[in-house]
Amino acid sequence: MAEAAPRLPDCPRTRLLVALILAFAFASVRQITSLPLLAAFALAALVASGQPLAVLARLRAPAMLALAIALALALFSGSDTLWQAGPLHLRSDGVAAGALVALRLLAIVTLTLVLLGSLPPHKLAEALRSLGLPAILFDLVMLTLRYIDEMRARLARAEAARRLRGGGAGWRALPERAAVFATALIHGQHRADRVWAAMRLRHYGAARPATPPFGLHDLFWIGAALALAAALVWLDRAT
Amino acid sequence: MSAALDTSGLSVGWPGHAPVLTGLDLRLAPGERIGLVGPNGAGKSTLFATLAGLIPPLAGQISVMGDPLPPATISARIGVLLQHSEDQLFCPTLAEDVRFGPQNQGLRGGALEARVTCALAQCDLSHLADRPVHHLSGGEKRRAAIAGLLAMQPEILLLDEPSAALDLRSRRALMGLLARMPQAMVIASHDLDMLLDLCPRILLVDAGRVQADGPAQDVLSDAALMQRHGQEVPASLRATGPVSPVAIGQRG
Repeated sequence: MAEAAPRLPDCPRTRLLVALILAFAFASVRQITSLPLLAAFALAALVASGQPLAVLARLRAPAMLALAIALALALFSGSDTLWQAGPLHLRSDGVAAGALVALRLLAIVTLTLVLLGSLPPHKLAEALRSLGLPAILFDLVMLTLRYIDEMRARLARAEAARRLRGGGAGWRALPERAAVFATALIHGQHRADRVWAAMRLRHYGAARPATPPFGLHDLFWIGAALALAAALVWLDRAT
Repeated sequence: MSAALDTSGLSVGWPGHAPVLTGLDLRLAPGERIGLVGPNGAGKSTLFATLAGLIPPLAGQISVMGDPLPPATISARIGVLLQHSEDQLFCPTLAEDVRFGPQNQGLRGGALEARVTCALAQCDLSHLADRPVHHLSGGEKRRAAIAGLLAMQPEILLLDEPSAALDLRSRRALMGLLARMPQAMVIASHDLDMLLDLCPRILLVDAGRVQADGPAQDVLSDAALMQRHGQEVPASLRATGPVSPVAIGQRG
């Protein structure tokens, strides 16, 4: 069976690189006339994701933030009043600035969600490592991702045990909760010691895997992203 | 032939603390399996930490395959299953975790993948290769930790409580796995029936010293010796037949 042509890069490293290139290009847009282009890019990314509704649902919070920024700029920035109602002044240059900031933000978040939102966190960390994130930071990220859920579960179990033994609720239970948290931290410290011992026993740090070179498919995506970014910046500066 | 592991006059303990085990002269032949028995706090895990190179010995020498091991040196020839073996699984997926050790040994590409595939198959875990390690069951986690060791191809295995908290089926699977492995092993455990099945030789440690070293059948069936050191004769060596509630009451 023939495979459908992939609409997004497969390799997490390529996705991250494409997202960074396009995000910087989007962030450099200065002209309001370039905004339709940004909107078109974001729309294309939404379609390419194959799950536009799911991405849109995750855009709710960033959209609220973008709206708040746009409103604040429209009402409190600039001098050329378009419309006035009592103390409220809607300013034309504020509207333009607000639209620019809000649309750039939404386009960047949409692109990031489409390209990186579907990646498991550890794949994203590996992509960051392959792009030069220091090994120690990468390992810290990986271990944090690995253990954060377990720490949360341990804390929840300890909290349940506290309640089952008659522990109080509300602010009066604060010292008890602090004790539970401190105990969880100490357990975490002990566990970290054991994990560190296990890592040393398996020769941690003796040899680091080399990053494989980009394949043709990845180079195509990176080239396309660079071309799009260059075209966007050129069009923006030309208008 | 050189011993797989040889210690002379070994004293172990955590740095800055009194020794927990002294004067240990242990010779482990290649392929030999020794069961290490003793009450909690007898120094079994500390001994393993010392042999593994996690802490330096307080006195004495350690040799591996005839080569002296400098103090606190982690040797690729020794694989250790820690008491809290769950903590040995720290990578996102099982395959990545098994890959961790050989990758650090410098293996790459096909050789690395072959090592991982082989270790997973040996531990009957191939079908779980892409599963997040925290989604494995207790028995699978124990075997996964062993797969991580096997992928590094050690010649000696030190296993600290390998069967602790396993259900009967997982314990049986683990015992089958250990019985098939050709490496020399020291197995520290309170699961005396398992040791009786797996280890022809038993070392009993207590009160800072080796109290007995001999054939498993002899050491483990010596009721007076076992009782003196806080142990019990394993069920399979006791008189057969149902034990009455009265007899249980009289034991206490």
